[in-house]
Amino acid sequence: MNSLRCLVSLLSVLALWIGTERSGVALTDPGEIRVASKPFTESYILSEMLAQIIDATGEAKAVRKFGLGGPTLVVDGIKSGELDIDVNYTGALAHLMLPTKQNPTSDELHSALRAHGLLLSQSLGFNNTYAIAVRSETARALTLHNISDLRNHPNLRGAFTPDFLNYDDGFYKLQQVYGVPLTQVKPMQHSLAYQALASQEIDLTDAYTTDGSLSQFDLTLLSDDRDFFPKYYGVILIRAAIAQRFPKTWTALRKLEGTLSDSQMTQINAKVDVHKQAITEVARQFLLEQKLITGSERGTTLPGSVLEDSLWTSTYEHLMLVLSSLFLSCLIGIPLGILAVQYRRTGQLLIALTSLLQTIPSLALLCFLIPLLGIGARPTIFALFLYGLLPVSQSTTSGLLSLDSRLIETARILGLTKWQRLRLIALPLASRNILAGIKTTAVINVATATIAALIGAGGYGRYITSGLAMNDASLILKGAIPTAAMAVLFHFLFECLARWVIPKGLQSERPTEP
Amino acid sequence: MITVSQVSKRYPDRTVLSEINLTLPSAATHVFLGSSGCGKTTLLRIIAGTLAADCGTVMVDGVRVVVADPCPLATRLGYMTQEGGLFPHFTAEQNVTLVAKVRGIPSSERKQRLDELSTLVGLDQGLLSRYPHQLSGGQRQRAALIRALFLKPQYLLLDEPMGALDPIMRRDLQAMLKQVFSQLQCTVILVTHDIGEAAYFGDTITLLHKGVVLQHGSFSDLVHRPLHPHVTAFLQAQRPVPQLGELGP
Repeated sequence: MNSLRCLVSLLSVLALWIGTERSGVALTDPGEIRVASKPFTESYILSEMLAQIIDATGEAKAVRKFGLGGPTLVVDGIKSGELDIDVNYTGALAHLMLPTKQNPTSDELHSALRAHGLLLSQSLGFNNTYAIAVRSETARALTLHNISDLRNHPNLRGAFTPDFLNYDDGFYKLQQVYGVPLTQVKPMQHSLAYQALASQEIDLTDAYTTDGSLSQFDLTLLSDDRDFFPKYYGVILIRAAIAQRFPKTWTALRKLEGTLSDSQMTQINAKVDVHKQAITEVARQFLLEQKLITGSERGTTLPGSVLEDSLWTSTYEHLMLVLSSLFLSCLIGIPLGILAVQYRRTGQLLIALTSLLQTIPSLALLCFLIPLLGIGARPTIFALFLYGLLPVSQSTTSGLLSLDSRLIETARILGLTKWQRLRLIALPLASRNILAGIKTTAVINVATATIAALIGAGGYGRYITSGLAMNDASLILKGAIPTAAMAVLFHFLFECLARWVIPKGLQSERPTEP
Repeated sequence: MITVSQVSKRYPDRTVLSEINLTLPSAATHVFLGSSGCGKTTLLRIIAGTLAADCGTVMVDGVRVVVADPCPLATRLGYMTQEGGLFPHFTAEQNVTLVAKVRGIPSSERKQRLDELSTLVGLDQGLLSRYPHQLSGGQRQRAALIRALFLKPQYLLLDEPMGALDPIMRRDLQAMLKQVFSQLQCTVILVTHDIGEAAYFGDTITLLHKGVVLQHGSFSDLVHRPLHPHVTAFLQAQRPVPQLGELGP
């Protein structure tokens, strides 16, 4: 019992520590500008450029919040003041801000954003919109130049990203506009679709016009002869308050306007995607060429971007996510399990609810939580806490129900109160089960916490997310291997903890005949 | 004195006790005898106040027993089950002093009581630091008896306390219990299915069968003045030990 108490106090101290360390997400340091990026190469590079310009201007310090997932997350984050700046796309912004309007004008978009306290730069130059890609050899063989040319080839096999298949302005609208009667269409992720295209499993897919990996696969982009696709011009999206507070920085950032053509952007993306150059270097090189930074600040004001963050930082973040959510799961889950034994019906209902939570996909759950808890560590911890409720409460219940009822009856006749029976007899006797449930939760949480990277809470997931986005296996492994190692470590840690927490009398129930 | 009047208990699928009436005077040993499933343990639990009867009342020293949590009779009851019912995660000492500790009895007093009782039941004090699984069956029962007697109860409820012991340990323990009962002068209810044990301990014997009291009286009443054919059948059911001569050379 004493050791249980120690464990609880240890975990509370940890939780407090995390509380003070990690709640900083929403607090603004007045000298900082929080630069966001989404998890794909172009977004990483452009946001890195913003960060370097901010640091070089010297008015404020750039804080990189890179690799944030989901289509609406970054814009929501900037709207709510948890993020400050990002490079976005006119088409995507129009879709978000003016969903009912067909082809809104630039002015309409600007005023819609202004209503939310957001400012937009002029276009950086390139238009990264959807395109239809085919193998160059197919294009030659079938003389395909425009999307209209597909009309005569209904047997071509298509694979499209789920986004493109579902968007209003995606594939099905395209079929209507162009009258393309494709019969074989399936959903597929981008990086996989390129591979499938190269190995002739499919014949066409959707691509982005500035995608750096296009050159790797010898693909031809069919031209959008009916002007179907909306324009996705790259623009800087910033909170108006930040632009006002740091006017020199905003002026410096706007010098990026019109500097990047489609082909330049594609080449820059290829440097990272194909030639595996470091994002920081690629961004820096471009800014030096354009004389947007002087280069004298090298080594002093150039912190590593998110991908060069140290493994220790990630380990710390990951560990904190797991431990604090685990603590909360125990704090609520164990009493819930006890209640489920005391009040069967109510308790079973509550436990059924926790199993319902289990069925919500983690990304979906995070999306629900963002409006309530913002982005960063808090929603992640809350989501992991919800996922941990079921194993912890279930194991508590089954541990308590499997006790020898005669022992509890004896305790009752001896005059122990309900609470004394629970504290002195039932919980220690069920400790093995309860601890097993906590261990399961811990190990699962280590794995699930990798999604944290998508909403800016860091951890090992940042390597996995970026690796997936940039099709870089070694980067994925940089996240996956420590994750696996941490899971194994937790497993052993709990084996040791069991020796400490489970009462000695229960550990070796071998009868030794004296 | 314990008075049981018109006590009945039904479970959805069967009747466990029907209309039990008993008077158990103080400072005597009363045995509930019967085969398993006859309702003797249920009756014991109803008397202890941990299980509610469907109807009827139990009076202990003129006060009606009501089921409540914690057990209202706990301060006056000592309780011991088959295998002792020691808590496996406590040492023997923690087990026997648990309730005294919870009630805030000072440790010097606990120590003194422990000394008295371990001498009384014949348990080596060195064994008290062991966990139940490190003790023999007889040692566990002695520790359980210390626990039952620790707060000087007026009533001692023993539910098949020797059910799991080998014959030699059982014999030793029976002799020890008999001595303790006469020394302490407390009221004992002992539940057993062993006729020899019932005869050895019982000032009165209550023979239960399928939830009904077949006969309540002394052992000699049961043998010589059976009220029901099943009384004789039950008493004769135990196989007598053959004389050595009958076994041949």
